[in-house]
Amino acid sequence: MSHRRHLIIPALIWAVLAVVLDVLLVLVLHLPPGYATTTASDQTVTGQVFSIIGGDIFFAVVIFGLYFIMQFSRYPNRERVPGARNNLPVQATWLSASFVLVMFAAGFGVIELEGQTSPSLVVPASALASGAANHPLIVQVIAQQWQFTYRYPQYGGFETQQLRIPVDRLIQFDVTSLDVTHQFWAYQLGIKLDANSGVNNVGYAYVLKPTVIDVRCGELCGLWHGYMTDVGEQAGKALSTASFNSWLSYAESYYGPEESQLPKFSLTYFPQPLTY
Amino acid sequence: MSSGRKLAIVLGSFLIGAICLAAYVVIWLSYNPETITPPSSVNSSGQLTTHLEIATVGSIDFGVHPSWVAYLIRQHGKWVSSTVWELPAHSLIKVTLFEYDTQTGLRNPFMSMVRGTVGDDMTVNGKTVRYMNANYPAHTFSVPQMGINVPLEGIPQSTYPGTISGNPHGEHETITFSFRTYDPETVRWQCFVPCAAGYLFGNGGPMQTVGYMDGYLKIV
Repeated sequence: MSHRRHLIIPALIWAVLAVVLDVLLVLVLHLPPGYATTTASDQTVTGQVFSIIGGDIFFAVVIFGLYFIMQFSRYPNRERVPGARNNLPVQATWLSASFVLVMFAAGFGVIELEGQTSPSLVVPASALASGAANHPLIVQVIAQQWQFTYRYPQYGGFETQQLRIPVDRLIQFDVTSLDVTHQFWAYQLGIKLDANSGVNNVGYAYVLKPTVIDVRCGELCGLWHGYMTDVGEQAGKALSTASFNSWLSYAESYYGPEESQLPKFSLTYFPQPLTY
Repeated sequence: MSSGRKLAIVLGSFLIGAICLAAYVVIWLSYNPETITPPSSVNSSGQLTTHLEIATVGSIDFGVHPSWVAYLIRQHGKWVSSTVWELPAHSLIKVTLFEYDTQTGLRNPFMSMVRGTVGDDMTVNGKTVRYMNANYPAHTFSVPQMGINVPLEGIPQSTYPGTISGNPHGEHETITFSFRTYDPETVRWQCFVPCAAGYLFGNGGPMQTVGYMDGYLKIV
């Protein structure tokens, strides 16, 4: 028993701290990016699972390590420390636990990936026949130095500097660039898509509830890369269906007169001219 | 190599690194572009109004980069090279802009629409305009954080030279617009015409240098 207490005591301490940490991670702390979309929810749950596992392991290593250092540092000869070497049960436990954790991580990843279903790509021309709710809403994200603009091909192709999308409808983001490489990072949606000129990069989101959408550029693109954001008053928004339809009416009338200036909708726009 | 020597090398490396970092921070902190405060007045109804008189030129003709396109601001009757302007909060900003540069055209025609100004419009040589042909702007005055975009119609290509000093006939377009400031903040502004001649995509050089085609509005 005198030897076993050197395992029981730190184990009890670890158990208490681990439970506190797990409760904090699940119920209190906000792990990014949140639960606004199905994608974001998956990412948040994955982050929670691995934060719990990693945090518990970290506490175990630290607590057991500190305990043993404090308890046995007075021993001048290591051989007198009970169970310090060639302790088969401890070694077996350590190897088994490591194996189980690795297998769990692999299994978790496989199950998560198998659960991902990729929506069918909708090319705007085939969807233009109707902007019906059963079609994904197509939003073209145009990146340029140093602002994002958004084009809605299913509603006349008007362009706006404010992102507005409805909840409870699949959103297809077609991301491209007019100049250098940027990255469309919509934080609350849990998506990050590179914007390259001449390339149409497609991503999807299904918004579960109305939310503010902070958009940032995630790829260094020049002097104002850090300011290439839609936050605060300029932030994007996921709206209820009624609010989104109301905004559509406003946007079509506000931006509509300028549509004649815009080029015909295309999946990509190559920068012209290359130099001045 | 003795352990003492190794320790000396490691400590020396850290010391050199710390000195370099400190020097970088000092240089960065000392960079302080000139800030211009345009004149303000209070009208009879108590509205604070600030008058901003600026110009855009095809080449600035002085300084480190005389051939670069640039914005200038009028201070005490003289054109000054500065793109950092201090504006009062909760004020009406009236802008008079003299566009001396030639038409270049927009890479994104969406920027040909006036947004975020009072009335969502501007006047070009006295005529009220809300949007223009995407080939006409020489530059834009855009403040993305405030939702402001003003395309600046340039003079026709045939009437170059596009500068102030070398412009015998003083040809330019006169553009006026107004916008409002609210709570104190510092926002950046830029031009959205890729007008940096000779740079890839036209967005290098003056387009990425404060003092030419970019700047800050310090709303205090």
